[in-house]
Amino acid sequence: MKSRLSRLVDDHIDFVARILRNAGAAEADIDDEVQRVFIVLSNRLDDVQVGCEKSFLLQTALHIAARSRRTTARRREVLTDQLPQIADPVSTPEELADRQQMRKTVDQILGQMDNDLRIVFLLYEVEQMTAAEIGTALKIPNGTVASRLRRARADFRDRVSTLEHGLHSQVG
Amino acid sequence: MDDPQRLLDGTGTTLERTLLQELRSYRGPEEMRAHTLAALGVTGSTGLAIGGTLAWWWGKTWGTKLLTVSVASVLVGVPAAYFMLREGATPPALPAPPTVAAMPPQPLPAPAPGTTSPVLDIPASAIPTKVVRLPRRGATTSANLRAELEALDTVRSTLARGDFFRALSLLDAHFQRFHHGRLHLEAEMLRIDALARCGQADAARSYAKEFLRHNPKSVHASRLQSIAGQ
Repeated sequence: MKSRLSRLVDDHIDFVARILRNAGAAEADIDDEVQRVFIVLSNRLDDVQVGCEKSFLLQTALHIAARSRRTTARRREVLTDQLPQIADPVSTPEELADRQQMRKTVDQILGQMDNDLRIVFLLYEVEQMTAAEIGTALKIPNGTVASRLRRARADFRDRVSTLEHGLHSQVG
Repeated sequence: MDDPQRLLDGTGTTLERTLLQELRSYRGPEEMRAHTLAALGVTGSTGLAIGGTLAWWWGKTWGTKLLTVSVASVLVGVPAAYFMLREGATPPALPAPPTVAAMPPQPLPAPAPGTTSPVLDIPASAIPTKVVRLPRRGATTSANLRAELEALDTVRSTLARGDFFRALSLLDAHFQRFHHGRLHLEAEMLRIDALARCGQADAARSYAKEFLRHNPKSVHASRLQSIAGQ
């Protein structure tokens, strides 16, 4: 059982961290929240069928991210002693500042989206899951997935377009 | 139903793709995996690492294997030769280690009713008044983190064998060695666990209360609450 757990941590820890972060959990809480997700899995491991672990982790991570968002909203401020982790460790300070700004921007855009739409959007566009996989994981019909995805993409593109216009007008 | 083409695959604008790429490139904190494995009590990280290295080596060509062995020989041989030259042809013999088996086991004095065992009687002043999460950034390297995780794995397997006193002494050594360790909270958890299981209920309760006071949102909170009697 421990080897299965260890393998699941290795296979899915980045996925879980990304889901938590992109679903709205605060950067400072990611470490603790990832632990929570895997502790839930550990407690229910006997009930989770082999091959269904990713789906279970996804649902647990979404649930925990929702709770984390509510807690953060109550706290009103998020204190962190860590810089966000980025994939490229050799970024220059300018690039780092740009990426931090980009992360802030994309967080704001996602934060303004409806939660149901945002989740489907992230699973499809960021996690590259198929519509059928999303439907199974979230226990919603494929038609609902397609509808939410269409609305989410339109919403995301509108917001990014507004941002682009703002940038162009600043430059102009 | 065919899935629509993804924005990252080319249908999105440059800015859309850049923002999505930013979301996709997110990685959690460096020590996240170690913390998670420690929280789950998954032991054998050393074994996994050695196993992984062996699997990697086995899959290589004979040329790579020979090269690996040569490099390893140089890495081991050069410091050994240096030591031999510096210290003389024959290194001084080390004193023989004390033979544990030769010493008869000392019977533990029976604790008086209502008191704790004198063997591990911990004075109140020794109980930390504050359990803090230390600054993470730049505190230790990933090599230190690995060493810390392995040390905790050893403590955990010692606890699993039921050797609580040995686990406590290993933990004392751990706190001295990794004074500002990143797995400080996990080590505290193991100490509380060891104290509770070796009959030091009062000390375990005091530690648990202090831990909860400073880390009320800890993932271990529910378990500690039962130890603390809350």
